[in-house]
Amino acid sequence: MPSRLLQLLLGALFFADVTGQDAIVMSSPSRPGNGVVAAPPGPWGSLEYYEVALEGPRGIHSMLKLPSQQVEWFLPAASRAELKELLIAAGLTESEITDLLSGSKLIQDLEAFRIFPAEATVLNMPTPTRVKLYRLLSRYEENRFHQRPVYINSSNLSDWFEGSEIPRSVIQDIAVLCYPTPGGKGYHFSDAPFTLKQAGSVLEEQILFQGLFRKRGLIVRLRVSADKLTQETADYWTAGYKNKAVMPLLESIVQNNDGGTIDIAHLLPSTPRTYLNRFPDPSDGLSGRFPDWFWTCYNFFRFVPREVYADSPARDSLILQEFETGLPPSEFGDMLLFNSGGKVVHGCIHIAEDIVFTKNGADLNSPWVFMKIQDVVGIHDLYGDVSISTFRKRKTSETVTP
Amino acid sequence: MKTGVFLFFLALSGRPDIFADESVVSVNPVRQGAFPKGEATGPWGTIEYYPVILEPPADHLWAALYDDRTLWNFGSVPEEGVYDILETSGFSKESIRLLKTEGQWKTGVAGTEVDVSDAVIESMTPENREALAKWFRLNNELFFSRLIINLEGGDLSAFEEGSVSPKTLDLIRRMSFKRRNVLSLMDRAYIMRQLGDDQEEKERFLKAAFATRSLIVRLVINESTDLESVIDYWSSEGRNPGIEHILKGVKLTAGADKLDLVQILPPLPRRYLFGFTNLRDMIPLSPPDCFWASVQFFRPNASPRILDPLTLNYHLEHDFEKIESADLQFGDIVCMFNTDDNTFLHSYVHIASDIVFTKNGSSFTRPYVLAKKSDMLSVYLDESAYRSETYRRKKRG
Repeated sequence: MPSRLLQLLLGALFFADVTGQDAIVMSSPSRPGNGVVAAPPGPWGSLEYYEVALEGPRGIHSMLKLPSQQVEWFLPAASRAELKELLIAAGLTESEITDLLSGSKLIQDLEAFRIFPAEATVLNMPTPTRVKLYRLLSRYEENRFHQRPVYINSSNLSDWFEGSEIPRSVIQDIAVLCYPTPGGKGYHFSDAPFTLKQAGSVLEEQILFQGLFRKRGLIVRLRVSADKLTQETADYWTAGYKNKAVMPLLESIVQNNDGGTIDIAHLLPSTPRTYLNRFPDPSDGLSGRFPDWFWTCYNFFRFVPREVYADSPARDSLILQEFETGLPPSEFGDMLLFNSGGKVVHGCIHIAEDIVFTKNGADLNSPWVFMKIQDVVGIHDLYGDVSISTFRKRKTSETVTP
Repeated sequence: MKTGVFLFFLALSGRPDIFADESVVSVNPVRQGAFPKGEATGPWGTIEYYPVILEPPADHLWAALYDDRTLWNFGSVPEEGVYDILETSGFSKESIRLLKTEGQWKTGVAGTEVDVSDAVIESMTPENREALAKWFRLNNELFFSRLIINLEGGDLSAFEEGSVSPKTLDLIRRMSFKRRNVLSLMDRAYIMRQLGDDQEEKERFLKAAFATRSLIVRLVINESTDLESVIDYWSSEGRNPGIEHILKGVKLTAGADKLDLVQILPPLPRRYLFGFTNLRDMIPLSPPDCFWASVQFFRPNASPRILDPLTLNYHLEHDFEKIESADLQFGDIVCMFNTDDNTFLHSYVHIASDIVFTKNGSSFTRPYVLAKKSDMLSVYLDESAYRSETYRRKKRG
């Protein structure tokens, strides 16, 4: 397909080898293969981890609102002139704008344009143009797939989609439509509607969406041996008595399985252990809300979760009362807040090394998982400006009363 | 057991000083060679496991456990009747004489009580203890449960290899006695008296006395694993959803050939595994017990309704079906009943092979564990006979 080859050439740094029957591999950046990875040792001990794909419970996708196969871009502009200004302000050139709009169908109302681009326009768009346009689109919630793009942390798409039952032809399209994240770590993919064209039945649609929107999590284990087990390791996981004592457990591993490993789920407090690698259950939303990132962070050390959310009026005062600014290095249980555009866009919990405990959305399709922090940044950093601040849970006796 | 026995202690001592926001686990190394690693293959795939002994953390040992006054309660039986009971129980004339001369007798709202001296304790034989324990079990069950400590595993391994001093171990050896298959202690207070002011040794003794045998269990997933069968088993016909992709992920990952069972247990057992009762889980006069832990096995969240004084059938008849087959599945509840009077004895959840999920009693000192069935039964198979009934949660929807 010449137009795709042209696109590949234009993509310069970020292109995919989609022409043969070999693995579909993006050229850069990459990630470790799908084996067990040893993390650098630290006060937490010696960790190793591997990644697993998590698909939402069966039936969840029948509840999702499937988009039209027609790609739609929503932009708030009252006139064509305003629309052009908006696109130019986003860094698009006159020539790029012309290319994007030629062949597109537009529906205009008083406040916005709904642009329905031609299939070739979507597919053949040069990557730099796609980056600028999709970053602009992500600012408007109507563009839900741009605001919450699929994050792919692998340059090997065949590996990434292994076991998903997504046809190779769709993966080839995805390889063309992916664009690099602002931070350069991994890729975003926002053209899920486009791929629906390749689904020939409702069942195929479900398989496609289930595969596209499955999530990734890490299984993390701590390797313990008699010669390396120290009090420092135990103290790290005990987190200043905020968590249970773990030294006897680690000693037990050494005595019965020296050099063996223990899943760090056993070292977590009760609440995160309950939810790890789990998608929300409908019963989690009986209060009217499903847990989000703040619920997850705030309740990390709490035995009984409290119903507080990222938009709760009490959020900031709770942070001030119960947390203090954490100085590096991060400790087990620290809350990491992601700041972007002057507001907090996400938060997660530091576990060890660069592994965090996170829930990346409040929806039913967002599980609680361990991830590498750079991947969490890759998901939430839509504009390349995310900075992270650290908050450490105070001991109960040190809680500040306003 | 659904006896609320622990509350008796609680009423005496006030609440134990435990962490408010976290169940606390304290795990002590298994004495080397006490029991080996194991492996079992079946419809569940292959599981391997190795043991850990869980001891209650110090702040779960409530003040009354340190009480060094030996008090026997005979309920409505008057003092003269007690002597008849002791004689029938095989007590020597000398023991009975000592109790008459040295015992401090009191009759009140709690019934007939006697404060027992060291001389009486030291004059008793294991057979005396066994007989007296049986009388208390049959006639004053609440007091029996308060008095008797059953030692997990039916041996003294929890006290060995430096867990307590040789002198204390010898004392425990002399005071312990068999109730058919169950090794018990009824003279905790006497042992406390002998330990004098050594608070650390008292704590070590109590921790070991309430030690619970548990297992770390892992599912082996390698190229020979029939993954579909394994998924079928652990999904329990949809009662435990969402595990297949973790299992598939493990199989796809080079070097990841084992998955800890904690990753595929339903939310509730996962939350409590290796943990002890948290005050936030209880209501007055009703802490979580074996039935609380087993009947909610597949529930996403714990319900305080299980603590209400309702019959077992209230919970079982609507959501569960009785299973006559001996072919147990993951998550089946096994309820044990005393055959003599049909009273409820214990319940646990079948996991795989001979591994169960259980909480042995309502005490704060007993954790939620994965355990070998034989270790669990080691504290239940006393002189009473029991029968079992198996229940399976009806499928969702």
